[in-house]
Amino acid sequence: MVASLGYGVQELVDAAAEQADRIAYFYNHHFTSEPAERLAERLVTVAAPEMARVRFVSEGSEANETALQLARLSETDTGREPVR
Amino acid sequence: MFPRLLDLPYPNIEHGQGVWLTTTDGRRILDASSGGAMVTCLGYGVPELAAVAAEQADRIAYFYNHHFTSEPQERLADRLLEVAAPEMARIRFVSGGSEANETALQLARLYHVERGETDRWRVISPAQAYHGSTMGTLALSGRRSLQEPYTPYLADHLHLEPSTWRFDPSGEAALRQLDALLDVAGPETIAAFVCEPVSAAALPGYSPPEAFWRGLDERRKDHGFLICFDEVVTGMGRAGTWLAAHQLPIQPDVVAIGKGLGAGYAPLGGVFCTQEVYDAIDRGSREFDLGHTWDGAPVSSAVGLAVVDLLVERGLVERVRERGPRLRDEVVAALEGSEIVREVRGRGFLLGVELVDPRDGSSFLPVELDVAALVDDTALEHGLLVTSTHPQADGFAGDQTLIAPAYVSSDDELAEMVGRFAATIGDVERAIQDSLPRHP
Repeated sequence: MVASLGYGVQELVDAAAEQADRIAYFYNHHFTSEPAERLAERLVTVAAPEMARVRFVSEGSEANETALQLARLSETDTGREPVR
Repeated sequence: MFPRLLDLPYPNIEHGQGVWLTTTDGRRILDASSGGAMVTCLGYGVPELAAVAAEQADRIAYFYNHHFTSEPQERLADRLLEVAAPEMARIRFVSGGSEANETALQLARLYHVERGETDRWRVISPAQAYHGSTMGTLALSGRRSLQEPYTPYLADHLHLEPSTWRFDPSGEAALRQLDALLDVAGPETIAAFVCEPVSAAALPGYSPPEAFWRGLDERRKDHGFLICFDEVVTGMGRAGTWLAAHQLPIQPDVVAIGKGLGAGYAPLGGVFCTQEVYDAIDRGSREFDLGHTWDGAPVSSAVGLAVVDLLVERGLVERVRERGPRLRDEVVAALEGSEIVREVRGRGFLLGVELVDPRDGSSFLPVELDVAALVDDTALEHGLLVTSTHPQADGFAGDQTLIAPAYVSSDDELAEMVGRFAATIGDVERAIQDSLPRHP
């Protein structure tokens, strides 16, 4: 349930290659980038306008772990007694 | 965007070339920590890697390895077992370091279950460590500051204090503690000892004394647990050998790798295991089907294969091995006379600089000064990227800075990194001296 646009999509190959030529990676603990910022804005505009923010991870297991951690953190930070 | 630190104005990076980053407002930053997370061992803008990824994506970028395999995945496995870890028998690919360490943990547990030792689940591991941000890997350190507020989700593993100069320079105390933990838990419940052979983020450049490794090996023989090395940072040449394990008097049963394998051009990690570990599954259930969406995907595998090729063709692991000790000497010389620097340690291109309170030359710096952040911020003012940590709250280590340049850094670039770092430490030392009277 991943290849929703099919195989061999030239636009996606070109975008990845072009970005990798410019810069493929750095750790987002230190920096941000236009692609990350623009993707976040685009997703909360187009895909989930009812949401306020998005945090990127590498895939689904990590996304669900992060959701769990965020749920726990928000309980803690709002001063509500966390469920143990 | 939901940033990591809500108050931090993150510099926005536009492009990179070699070991230099350029921000959207034109600032140039010299990268002494391989992308900030010890990843980009080949530097930025490597055309071969971008081309290989594009070529493979043209052919096919992705399918799920639950159903199929591919030439890139099979060839990468063969190549790594031939070049990087000939003492290992198999490798399973994953998407990154946290997943690699989680998979190592699952594999260690499965090994024992397949052999009928179902009580073995617990891990003993060094307390001052970092193995990832997932629930399974957060439980592998003994650091409350890292684990809170997620502790209710974390398994109850057992932890050793570090054998640093401060606590246990011989490694004997750690062995006594290991014996005590084995006694209390019951050795028949221990699945694995998990550790970094040379530490990275949490205790940069540290490795226990040789006596500890020998003692650990004896206890493995006596008690039957596995030894899992987290080589997510050190694997792929960072410490000057393909695995840091190759420099130690002990052979692990399972090894997790990551970071340098994809070199920042693909999210890629892997878990090696010995023939004995593989045989337990081969003779048992014959399946280890837990996995993640991107495990062994063709495009990631093709990049990994090209990374191995470049490391071999350019002799970069050998360069790190030969150049690393001199780099450490150069850092030591540049910091000579600094009263806040206690130790410069490490192997290859994985160095750690330990900072202490200049008033006695040994205590942790006051945690409220957050000298680690001061070092990183001051370094950025000098146009230098380093990564520091200040885990004083856990009681095992103080402020430390990690230096981990790309293997392709030229001698001139390394000299520039050392010079900018020395200037950074000079500024930080002056700021500390000004602050300390207010923090007796």
